[in-house]
Amino acid sequence: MVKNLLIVFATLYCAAFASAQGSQTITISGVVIDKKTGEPIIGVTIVEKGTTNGTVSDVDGKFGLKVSSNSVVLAISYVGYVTVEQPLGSQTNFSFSLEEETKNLEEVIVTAVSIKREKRQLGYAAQDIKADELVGSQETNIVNAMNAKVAGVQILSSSGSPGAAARIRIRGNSSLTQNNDPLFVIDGIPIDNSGGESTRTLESSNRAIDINPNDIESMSILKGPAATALYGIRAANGAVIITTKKGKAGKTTVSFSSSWGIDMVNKLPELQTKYAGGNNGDTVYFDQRVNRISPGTGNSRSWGPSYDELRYNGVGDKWDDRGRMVLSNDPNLARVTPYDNINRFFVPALRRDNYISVSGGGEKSTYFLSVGNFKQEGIVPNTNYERSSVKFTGTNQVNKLLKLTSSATYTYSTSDRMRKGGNWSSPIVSLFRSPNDFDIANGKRDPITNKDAYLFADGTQRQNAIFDNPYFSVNNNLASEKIHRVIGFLQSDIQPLPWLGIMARIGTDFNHFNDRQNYSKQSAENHAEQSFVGSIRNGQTIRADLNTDLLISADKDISKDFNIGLRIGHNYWQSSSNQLEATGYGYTFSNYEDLTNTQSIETFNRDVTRKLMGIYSEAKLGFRNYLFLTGTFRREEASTLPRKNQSFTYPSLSLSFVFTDVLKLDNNQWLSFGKLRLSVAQVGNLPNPYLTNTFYTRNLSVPFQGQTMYRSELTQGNPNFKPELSTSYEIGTELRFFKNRASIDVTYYDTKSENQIIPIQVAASTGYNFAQRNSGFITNKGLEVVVGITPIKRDFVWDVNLNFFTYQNKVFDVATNYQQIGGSAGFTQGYSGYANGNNYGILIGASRYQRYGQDPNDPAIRKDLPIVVDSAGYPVIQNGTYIIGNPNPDWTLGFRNGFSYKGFSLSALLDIRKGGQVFNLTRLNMMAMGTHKLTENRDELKPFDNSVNKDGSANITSIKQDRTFYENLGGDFGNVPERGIEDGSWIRLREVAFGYSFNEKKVKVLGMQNLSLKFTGRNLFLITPYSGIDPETNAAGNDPSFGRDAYNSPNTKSYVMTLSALF
Amino acid sequence: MQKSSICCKILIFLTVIGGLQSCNFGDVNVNPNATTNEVVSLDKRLPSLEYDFASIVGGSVAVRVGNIVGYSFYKQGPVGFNKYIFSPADASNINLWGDLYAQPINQAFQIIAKADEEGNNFYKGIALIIQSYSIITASTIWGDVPFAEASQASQFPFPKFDPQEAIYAKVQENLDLAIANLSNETGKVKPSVDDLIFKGDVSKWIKTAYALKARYYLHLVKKDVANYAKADVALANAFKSNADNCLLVFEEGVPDVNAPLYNEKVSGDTQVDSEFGTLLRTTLKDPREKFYTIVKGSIVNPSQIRALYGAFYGSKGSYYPFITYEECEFMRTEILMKTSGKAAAEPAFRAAIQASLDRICTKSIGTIPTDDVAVGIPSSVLGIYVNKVANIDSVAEDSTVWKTIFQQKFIAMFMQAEAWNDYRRTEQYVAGIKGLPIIKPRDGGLLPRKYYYPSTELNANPAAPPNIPDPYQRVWWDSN
Repeated sequence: MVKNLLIVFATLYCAAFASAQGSQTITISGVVIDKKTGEPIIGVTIVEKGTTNGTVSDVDGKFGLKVSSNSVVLAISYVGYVTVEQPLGSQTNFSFSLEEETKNLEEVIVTAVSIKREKRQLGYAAQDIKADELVGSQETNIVNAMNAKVAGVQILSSSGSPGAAARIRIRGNSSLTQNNDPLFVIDGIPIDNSGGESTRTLESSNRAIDINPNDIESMSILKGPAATALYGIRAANGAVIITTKKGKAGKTTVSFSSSWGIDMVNKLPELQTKYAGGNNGDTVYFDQRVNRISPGTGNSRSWGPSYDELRYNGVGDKWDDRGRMVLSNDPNLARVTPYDNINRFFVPALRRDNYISVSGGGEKSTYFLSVGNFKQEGIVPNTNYERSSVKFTGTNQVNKLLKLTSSATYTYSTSDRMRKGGNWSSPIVSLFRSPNDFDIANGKRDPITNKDAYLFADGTQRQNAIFDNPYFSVNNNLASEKIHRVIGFLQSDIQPLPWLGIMARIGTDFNHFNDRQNYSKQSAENHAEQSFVGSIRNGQTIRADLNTDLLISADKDISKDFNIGLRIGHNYWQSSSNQLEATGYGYTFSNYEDLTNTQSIETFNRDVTRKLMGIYSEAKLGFRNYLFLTGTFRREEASTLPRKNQSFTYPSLSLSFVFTDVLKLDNNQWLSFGKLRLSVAQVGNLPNPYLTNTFYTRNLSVPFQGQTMYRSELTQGNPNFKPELSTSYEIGTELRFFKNRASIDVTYYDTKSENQIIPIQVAASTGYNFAQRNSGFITNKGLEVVVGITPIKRDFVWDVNLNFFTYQNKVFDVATNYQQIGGSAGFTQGYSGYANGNNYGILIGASRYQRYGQDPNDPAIRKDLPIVVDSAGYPVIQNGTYIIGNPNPDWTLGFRNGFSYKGFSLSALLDIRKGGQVFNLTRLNMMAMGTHKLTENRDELKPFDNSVNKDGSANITSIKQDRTFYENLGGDFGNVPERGIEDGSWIRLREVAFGYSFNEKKVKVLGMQNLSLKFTGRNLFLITPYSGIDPETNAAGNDPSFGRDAYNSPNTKSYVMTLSALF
Repeated sequence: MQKSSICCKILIFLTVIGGLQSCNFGDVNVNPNATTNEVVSLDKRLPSLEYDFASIVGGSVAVRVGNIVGYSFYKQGPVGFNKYIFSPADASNINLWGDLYAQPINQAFQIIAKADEEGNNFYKGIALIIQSYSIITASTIWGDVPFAEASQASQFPFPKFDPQEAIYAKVQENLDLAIANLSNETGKVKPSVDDLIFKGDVSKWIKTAYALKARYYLHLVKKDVANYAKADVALANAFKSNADNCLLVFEEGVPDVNAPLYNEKVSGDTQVDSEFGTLLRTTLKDPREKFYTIVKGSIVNPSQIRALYGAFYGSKGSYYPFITYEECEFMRTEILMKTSGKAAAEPAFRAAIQASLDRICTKSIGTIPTDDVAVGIPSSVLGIYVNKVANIDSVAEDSTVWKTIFQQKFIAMFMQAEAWNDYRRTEQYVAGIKGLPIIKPRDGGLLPRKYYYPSTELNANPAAPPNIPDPYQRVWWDSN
């Protein structure tokens, strides 16, 4: 640590050294203007050629410089303009007019460790996303904003709740149990994107959500290990490189934008509306109506009589103003009709985003300052997410050699979240599972704020069946989060020679996370049979990451044909977090919801420290600007590896060949550019902390009979771990046609990730259930295609962009099959796991229907074979371990069309996903509860679908698919999980935007440079065979497991209007 | 600018890098929230062993074996369980094996090793008893299981499976060893409150060891009738009253730390088998019925009745009995029936039922003031029931007497795995009726006699034998 600070001091020391200047005699001055407009140009570099002596032009385009003699040559250069060279001679006052470069600027992209590279030099795939594409998507979470915009990147949002997590994978998964997230880097500082795993009770955010998209200048996605070789392990799964906005020398500009929008629920499952609550059509339920409200005794199912047979008796009570339901066809009594609780509950929700930035700079320094505030309400009442951020970035050219950059961003975000599905207090569970003969709003117009909707006069809860009244829950059981986060760095760049640069940087990512989760005394989660009455959890996590970099780069043309680039770097990263939680159980008083009001408090403490040090080098050899060979080498030292194996090294090699340059095709009408890329790279992945030893931990976090007790962990540590190692081969080509009007970029990659670090199941008779081992490998193969076409380019411009991705992600040779990955999120009837020779994340279940002619040892679900029924006509169950589904899509396609005409612009992004199965536990549960539309055929007598008798003969025995069936052999409480598997394909209009930019001359009168108005729609339509909510949700959130829907919170569609102005 | 000064500056950087290279991450990877084997003392291990022992034997074992013999019924989980449809894979999923081996058996091994190091005979004695109990539990479920090489991962990564016969012999030896260790009063520090079961009362542990010896001798009666006499000898030193019972009381008021059947009740994963409920409620009008089970739901529609675990075992602060005085009396009844006839057996039988009723029905456990469970039933009132059922001497048919005895034992030992053992070893007693008569296999099927080895163990342990082809294979002592 101290040593790292030394780097910074050493840098500054050197800078001071360097400021000693040689003697200079001649003073010159001048002005630089744009040849076309005649306007002065700010920030133009004027240097004495072959030296480091130079200056930049000021706001008025003026400059002054001292030079050593009149025989020097001045070089005047500016990005986007043709460089001018001027021998000094006797002249001391100059006027340079620079001409804009007419040739297309070679595309530059930010690569690893913030190195800007011409795209033509890259031997690997990298893709960027423009700032307006990110901001324009109107997504809260920067991860969601990338959706359907980059080939090879898969985004899965966990729900439409405000501040919900999103899961990102670049080129699939390379690790079974360790990190699969790409590295997020902002201005060179790796930042934390952990979090976002959701549990049975709560969703949380992934921490990339703290980034304000408005602050982003550009984003590039480095996909394979060749691209991220210099980052090493932390970018083993790719990297998202974010460059934020900086100030530019010149006039102060003020940019302002304001968005206002509305979110609405986009898809809900269908409920039946024919039957009231009850059991198998009997009337008992009605006689015991009051009883069902008592916790534990109630009946919450919808297997009662048909609404046609029911009338209100007209004697209103506290349950319903219209009275009790009676079996009757008396025409004088009002008919009973179901309440539409579900559609009423989800409300249109407002969102707004305001952002202002001020930037500018002078001869030596620039600054950028921004303030943003984003607030989003949820479609579930009282839920929300709010993010406020302040950012400052400043640069200072201290002297000719030293440039200092400093930046700090402070973000404060808060959210109030509802209880998630799978929880007694979850509004979703209550709405989807409870009979719809009960009005959750109690006839009130304002049930969100009116307590009479959900509380009786005596203060007890007016709940439907055994779950919380959703209005009660959103008023009493919300969980809240508060995050303070600071990301900042200090960087010094030294340029002792034109071809030599030294960069030193120290940065931090610090966050303080606080969450509070409450169940009030009357909530259903405190069911009389549960272990406590009311509870509160107060947790805090402080995480501080420190990152230091030192990078020495040299880049020199060594002859007319050859260019050599060399880099040597050092990186140190340390992350430490401390988590403290206190949970109090059993409130003494109501309405005093604090730890001090609880009868028993449990605490939890977790400290994690990780350190990583890398030394790396890169050598690049360029030949005639069309052939580039780059080799890298990185040595890593990691604290989470066993002491004896703490360091290891890995290389990469990549080649870029612009063959059109060799073939002299530059001016070819048809093919304007062609490049071939080849690369091979290795990268490691680390075990999580504390897996190298077997520890003793407390058994029970609370004393039991006054005793604290300890026992050995059940997973044996491994003192011989090796890091996981991925070897990746990539081949790609980039072709541009018709003078760059059309382009196609195709990449194929093949990665093998060996030495998977997994807790393998060992013989429990050894005393352990699991042992940490290196076992098995994962293969990842994929094809990425990016197409860009501009069919029309006149006043009217039409752009087409297409991102296609298909992949195979398989697991081999692991010691134990069918293990689970990720969290259970509260249900285990079907889990996401792996098995040899199968896809990563396959869905696994513990029972299935027996199928005629299938080998009992074949783990697949053979839907093509008929199901065997018993003599009563009911399907026969087999218990075991079966592969019930594959959540990986066959392919994904993002397809954008953009049109612009004068000030108008229109763009639409279609997102297509083919395949990707989802385990719809929600539907299974709803069928068992009798609330799902599909249970309306409950009285129909027919043989079980696609079935045969045990001897293979046709089954003609009719059965009813009623409550008994669903709860047992229908398996619809999740017991026969194959019944929950559905196709999660979709076609959605992910984004559509219509904008207008006001005429520049007109807005100039208002003192503006630019004024525009834009209407954006998100998720406006969705076509999917999936029967539940939007299949783009994930029960476990940002978690290795995916493809499960267990009362997931619905997704949303949005309409947003944005006004932006530049002064 | 001088080139040399540039070189000098570069040198400074390289020196800094060189300095950093020597970074040592040595102790960073030591988990600060956990500790190591060396640190954890015996008095912090024993309560953990006892707690886990109770949670597993009284939880997963009770529910799983209870499902086989008809105490419990799976409400959620693989639907085939209630029809005895098992597989090696669900044997893994249920993880009885892993629970037993990785928890009580393993922890007991570790305590014995540590106690040997420190020369502490008391901790060793207690750990030996719990280990014996756990290993026999495993052996009654699977037959041949690892013992000699178990829980020594570094020495035996693939523990061999010992024949059941050898396991029983070794366990009898170990129980004798335990008795010897516990009887040595000159020994090291005695456990006290850290012994959750007997609070350091070693005399009760000695009685427990004798009671277990008797139980395990009786397991083997199909193999050798001499075991009746051996069991009888052991019983002489076993429990004398309910005050001696070996049980662990779960503590009320500690969140999320509940008696295992309380958790089952709340989650609704299993409930009391309704046949068993009907036997108590309707057939026998047994006073224990309201203590064992609560009936919820519609009386009008009997198919919807939910028979939850009652307050006696299903409360947060319930206890789980490992072995009780009443079982000793039931064992004595059986031995006397076998050796001296029903007249001699009747007093023991009477004592057994009375002890069971006294244990279960006399204390208040409920909340509804009018209910028996709220106030408890006086012992004298219970005597009426005892008189009604215990008069075996007046029953003519021996087969009827045997049925009555084992029916009563079955009821008394609700949710204890011993019922399955009784079923398998006593089928000989009632000619013409297969098995323990009061257990009626559901759906007219056969009651399983052995359980599949979990595929997790078979896959990971090359020393394991091939799995049984079906659950109707028998353990060694189950065949003559």
